[in-house]
Amino acid sequence: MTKRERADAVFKCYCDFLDGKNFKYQRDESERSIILQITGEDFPMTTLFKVEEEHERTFVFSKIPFEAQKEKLTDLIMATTFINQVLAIGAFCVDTENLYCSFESNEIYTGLEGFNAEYAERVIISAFSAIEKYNDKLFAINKGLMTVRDFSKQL
Amino acid sequence: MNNQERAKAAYGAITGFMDEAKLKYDCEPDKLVAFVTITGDDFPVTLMFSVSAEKQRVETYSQMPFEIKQDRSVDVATALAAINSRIAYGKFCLYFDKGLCTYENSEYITGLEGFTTDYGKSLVGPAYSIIEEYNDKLYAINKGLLTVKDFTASLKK
Repeated sequence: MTKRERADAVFKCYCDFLDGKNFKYQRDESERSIILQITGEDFPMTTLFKVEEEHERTFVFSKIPFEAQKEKLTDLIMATTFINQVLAIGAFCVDTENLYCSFESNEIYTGLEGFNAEYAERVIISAFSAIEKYNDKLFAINKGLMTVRDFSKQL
Repeated sequence: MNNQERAKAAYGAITGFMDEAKLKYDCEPDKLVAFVTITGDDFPVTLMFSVSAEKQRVETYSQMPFEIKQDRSVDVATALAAINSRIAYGKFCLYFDKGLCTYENSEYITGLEGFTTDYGKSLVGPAYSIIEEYNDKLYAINKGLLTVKDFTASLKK
């Protein structure tokens, strides 16, 4: 299997999984990227899944949909630090320049085969579960509705 | 291939790569855990690779070889946020209560096959490179030898 065939197989397994579950999503075949929006209990979660042929990995990125307040950046950094301690897959990041929080993850698939729906489900659903679990807490901290101390006690 | 066979294959790909690269490592094959220490430009980097048949994940873990001072923990957390926004693989974590700074990564292997030494290389290589790039900066910030402002400014260059 060449790098290109492998990238196509990974991309296809994500699309097949989403199609099988009747998810609506934007799909760019040439970029091998998927933009999926799921509305959870609170915020809509828009997540990019991009299969990178060159690096043989899937890049997962989701911008949390609020602007970080400058005076709350340290609180958000502390909160994401606490989250990252307990998060099995991926990481929450704070972009202090562009004032946003994000969830990011990578799945390396160098040389591998056997990309099936079960694999796709784990990659996609684990990202959404993590985002869904913490986006409202980050929002509350950013708004000053929750302290980092109270948040860390919940974890 | 069942979950146990897959986990063993992933573990074999990691140790196989380390054998090929002539890296000396310790391992616990029954637990599918391998430890390797690579001495770079400054600190030795010890990486632990652990494969879980149950979770169907390969986990990478490395502890920075210095204790994070309590009065520097916000600085280190701020530096880690900047680093985590930039690195392509894994994340740096800070455990405030233990004064620990770590690099961690986790990859799914659910349903996958074809674990070769190339796969092992793709796990070991980036993890080592990332840690090697940042461990001395984190040490300097923790020691008060480098400010977070200067560090983040250096990342933009």
